Amino acid sequence: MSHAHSMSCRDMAAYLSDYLDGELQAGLRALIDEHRGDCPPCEAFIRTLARTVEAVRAQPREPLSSALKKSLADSLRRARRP
Amino acid sequence: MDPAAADKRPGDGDRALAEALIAGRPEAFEPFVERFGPLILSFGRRMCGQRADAEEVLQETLMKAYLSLKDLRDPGALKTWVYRVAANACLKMRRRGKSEPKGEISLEELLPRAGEGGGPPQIADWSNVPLERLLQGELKAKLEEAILSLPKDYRIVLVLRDQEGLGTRDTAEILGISGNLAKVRLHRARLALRKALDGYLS
Ligand SMILES: [Zn+2]
Repeated sequence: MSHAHSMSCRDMAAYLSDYLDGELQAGLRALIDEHRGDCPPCEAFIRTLARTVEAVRAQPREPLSSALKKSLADSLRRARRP
Repeated sequence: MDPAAADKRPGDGDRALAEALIAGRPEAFEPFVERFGPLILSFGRRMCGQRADAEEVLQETLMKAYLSLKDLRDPGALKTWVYRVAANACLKMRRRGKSEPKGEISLEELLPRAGEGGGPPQIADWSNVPLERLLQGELKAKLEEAILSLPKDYRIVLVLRDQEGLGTRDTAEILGISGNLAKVRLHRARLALRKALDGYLS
């Protein structure tokens, strides 16, 4: 049987974050690589999950004004233990 | 790439900064605010949604982290120390005018279902939507709303890992949970966001 070592779509889904983060052991990684090549829905699922993570990561930081920075440093200075 | 690897070098600067703060050197306050102000303000905004709440989290965090610094055993771990104080401040704060989403995220609802007649699931591939489009206008609002709709325990893991760029180990340590639980929550949070975007884009 050519699929003796293959993984079901459902089983695979649990590993996808580790897969995308490069934190999956080589054997499992190879199974997923093989599966997605043969399974268009999983391929689309993985690609859209990866895009989602990219979008979350790319969200910009909040700007912090120098006035607020100064007021924060001032209150720390006032709290300084003698 | 392991995001924790990128933290190796700032750790050295953090050690010197922590030591200067513990020694009570007044010239250490500006660099402390410079280093952690932008990080914790963004963290607070991402966790609480409102700028005013984020500023409150930031003020409380810098003050508490500074005043409790004598308990920090490893000055090189200043960053996780500050994030732990911030996480506690966020977790106890109620979001202004919003009820906090509760509970667990069930995997079942987030995975593809079989298509009509038990055939393979239909998954739209919208992965080629430009990142710039996801980061402005309606889609940006959609994504922010989806992040704020996650239960707090999940949201905080997603924010620490994917937005603050901390590794699994630091995230788990900050939250006092196992690395495995941090991974499970991150995965479900990401799946929930994928589903929210999918409902909009497919
Ligand atoms: Zn599949």
